[in-house]
Amino acid sequence: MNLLNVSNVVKRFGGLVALNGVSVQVDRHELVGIIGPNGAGKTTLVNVIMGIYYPDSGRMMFNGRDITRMPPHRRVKLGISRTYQVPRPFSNMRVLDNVAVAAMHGAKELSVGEARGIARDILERVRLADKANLYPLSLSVTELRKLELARALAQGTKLVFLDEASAGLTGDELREILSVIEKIHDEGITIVMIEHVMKVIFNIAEKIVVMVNGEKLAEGKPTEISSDARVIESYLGRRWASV
Amino acid sequence: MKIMAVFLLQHLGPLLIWGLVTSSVYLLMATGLTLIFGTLRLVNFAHGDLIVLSAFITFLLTTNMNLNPFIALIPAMFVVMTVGVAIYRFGFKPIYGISKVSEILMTIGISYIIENAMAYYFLPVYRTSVEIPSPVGGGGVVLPGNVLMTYDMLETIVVSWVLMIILYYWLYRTGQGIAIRALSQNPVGASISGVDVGRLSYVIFLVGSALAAVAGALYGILYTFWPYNGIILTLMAFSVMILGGVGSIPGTMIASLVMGYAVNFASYYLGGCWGEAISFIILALVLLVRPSGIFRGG
Amino acid sequence: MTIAVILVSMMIGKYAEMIAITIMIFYIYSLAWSLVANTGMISLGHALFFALGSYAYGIFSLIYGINMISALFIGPIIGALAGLAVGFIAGRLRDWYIGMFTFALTPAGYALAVSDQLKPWTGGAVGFAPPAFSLSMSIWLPFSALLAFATYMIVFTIQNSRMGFALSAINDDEVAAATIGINTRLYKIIIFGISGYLSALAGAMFVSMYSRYISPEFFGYPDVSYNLWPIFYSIIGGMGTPEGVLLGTIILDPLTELARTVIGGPLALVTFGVLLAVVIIKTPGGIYGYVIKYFEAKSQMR
Ligand SMILES: Nc1ncnc2c1ncn2[C@@H]1O[C@H](COP(=O)(O)OP(=O)(O)OP(=O)(O)O)[C@@H](O)[C@H]1O
Ligand SMILES: [Mg+2]
Repeated sequence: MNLLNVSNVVKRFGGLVALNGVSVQVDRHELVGIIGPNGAGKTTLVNVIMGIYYPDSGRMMFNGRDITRMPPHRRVKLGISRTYQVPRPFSNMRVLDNVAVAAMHGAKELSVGEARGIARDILERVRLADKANLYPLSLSVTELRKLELARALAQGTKLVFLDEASAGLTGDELREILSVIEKIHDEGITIVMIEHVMKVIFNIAEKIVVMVNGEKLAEGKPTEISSDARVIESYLGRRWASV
Repeated sequence: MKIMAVFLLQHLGPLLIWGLVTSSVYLLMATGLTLIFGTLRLVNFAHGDLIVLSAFITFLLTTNMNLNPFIALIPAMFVVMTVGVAIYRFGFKPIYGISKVSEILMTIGISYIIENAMAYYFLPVYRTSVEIPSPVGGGGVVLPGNVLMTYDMLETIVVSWVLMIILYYWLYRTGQGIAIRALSQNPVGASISGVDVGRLSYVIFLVGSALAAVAGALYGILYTFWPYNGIILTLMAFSVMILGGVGSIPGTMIASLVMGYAVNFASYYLGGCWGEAISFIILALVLLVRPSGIFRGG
Repeated sequence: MTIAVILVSMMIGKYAEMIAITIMIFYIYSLAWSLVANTGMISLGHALFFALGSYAYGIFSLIYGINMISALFIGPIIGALAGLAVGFIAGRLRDWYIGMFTFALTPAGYALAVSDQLKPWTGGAVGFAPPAFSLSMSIWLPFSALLAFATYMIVFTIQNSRMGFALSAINDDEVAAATIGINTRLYKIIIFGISGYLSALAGAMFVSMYSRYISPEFFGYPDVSYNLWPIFYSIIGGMGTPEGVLLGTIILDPLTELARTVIGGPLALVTFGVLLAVVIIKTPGGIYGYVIKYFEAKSQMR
């Protein structure tokens, strides 16, 4: 049985069809990559899975439970968490408490003390411990991304969605974040990485889903995807592909 | 059967007419509010106070200078529009878009200032409708079923609905109106496509306040008022606005009819204070059934 | 602490004592309002709870003969229930809609209080005089100070609990709060319930220790003042912190009394409105924020 089973999900915004019958399966302990150009509907898919919007039609099962119309907080308790592509820290809380509040209300309900303990560990892992007592306002963009990651990991969930968690990172920082993600994955957490740039994902993902225009264009192992003509076409443009 | 007929003639007739009159006043009160909220995303809690202010100025000019209320309405309108624009310029503009919390607190503070300033200047006493003379010299017609419709009631209905037609024309046929509608649908897009949002904001507050001024004069001619009337008028306008759907003129028209009749029937059959309660109940029900929920849109 | 309060109350005489009691009462009321405001919900109708508390106290003690101290604490349960109901609706709404909805509560409450149907209990537009605590006893200032301190402790405990973190997150970003597993709706309902109880407690204290009379104007209608005192005290004092609220209440409450009795009339009230507007524009942190900034600047200069 899949851990997550999204079938035929449709989501419209007025006249715009952001998701047009998307189906995605994620297995336990898998590391899945979702790629696609701007406006493909990747973030919308995460939002629908997380319960920010309910889909217009379609069904979503998580761990054998129907979550299609479940409020967001209950999905977290079942074991799903996510990061935001555009960081959304709680600006009135210090970095440590930003992570702690996520730990407190995550898959398990923890006390303030326990949650702060976990938060310290995780900040250590994503190398943000030295900023623990600052307010998010004074963090750089990459630090804010790490905070997003720390918050999602602190929730102790089975499945984590990372919405362009590595965007804007380069060199050592990128390698660092990727190694954290791989380690988390090795510990048994299922991860779905959304990326804009294929390169990042191809080395570590076990399965890749390609989205274009609100639809799933292709799905398969990285090697299959990189040789798929349709993917090349959508990424590099029609003219290139036809040559 | 006979009792039914007597009931119909004696009670239902006047209620139907008064419902229409009340609706017409609500319509004027709510369109100003819905215009501002629909475009600038600001609820002017002092809107009701502007209406009362207009009633008081009209009252002052008719009693002290013997002006016809319709002539007195012109300076009243001028003052109310000035106050309306001042509310925007000095109250909202410095904090606009920074924090909703500040905006909400500001608007209640402004309402409080205007209310108490009026209580100080005009004294906290009730002014009955007879204190503003009829602009058309009184009189009226007796409708079939022995229902009296005074000319003042008639002129309220006519002025209100004619103004709506003009407003509709302005919003849907003129360049400025179309810009305002663009603003209400997509503020960012409108400003990108060259709409001068800053200037338009003033226009919107001017028009909204002008509508409040007209509503105020008509209200003063028909009803008793005092400086602390603003709250209940604002509340009625809220209910109509929410029921009709924010920013929608046709919706506001229908909602004002519903509210006008609901209030008249409730206060007639349940007692005076229930008119206010019913408008609250309608507001609460609409918000409960169709709230602008946080997880929808936006 | 208690001994000091008693000593002070003996020294400053009855009038000052009464004012000190109103400070305690309005501190409770303002803290209650701030609890909701710090969850991102600006209530413009808290006088509903305040008035319900005073009416419930009066009706319980006068009509049902419950002893006064019990009525003081049982009566506000009505406020808590009303708070839960209001929270149930307000919890689904956003900013302006919450403002409009809560603003509408008070005329509705007033309408009920003066309605013929409820007149046997409420005394209609006239109101009624409930049993009140004897003025000759000097215990009421320390008693109200104790209640104010208890309220402060409640707020402090909430702020430092899981719930406090949740409320703070909701205030910051409701969607993000929901997606890290916070049941935003439930927390908003609960905090409205707690705030309703505390506001009602303030209302019950107000009539039993100070006004000795219950009138429908407690609903903040037609004059909105009863709705606005907690807003003035919290915002001008410095919202978010119990210290700021305390500062605001201590400074402004005596001025309010002065405005009502000595200077008199609406012009003094206009000043409060203007003060609120100026604080909102110039120093959103209120007096307390200003004080903190001042000391921070001073300590940096050394
Ligand atoms: N709340 C919303 N309201 C209206 N339209 C929306 C909303 N959210 C997303 N959209 C639209 O849906 C489409 C898909 O957007 P989405 O953010 O899911 O794309 P994406 O694949 O994440 O793109 P990117 O790589 O830029 O992050 C876009 O056209 C976007 O404008
Ligand atoms: Mg995206």
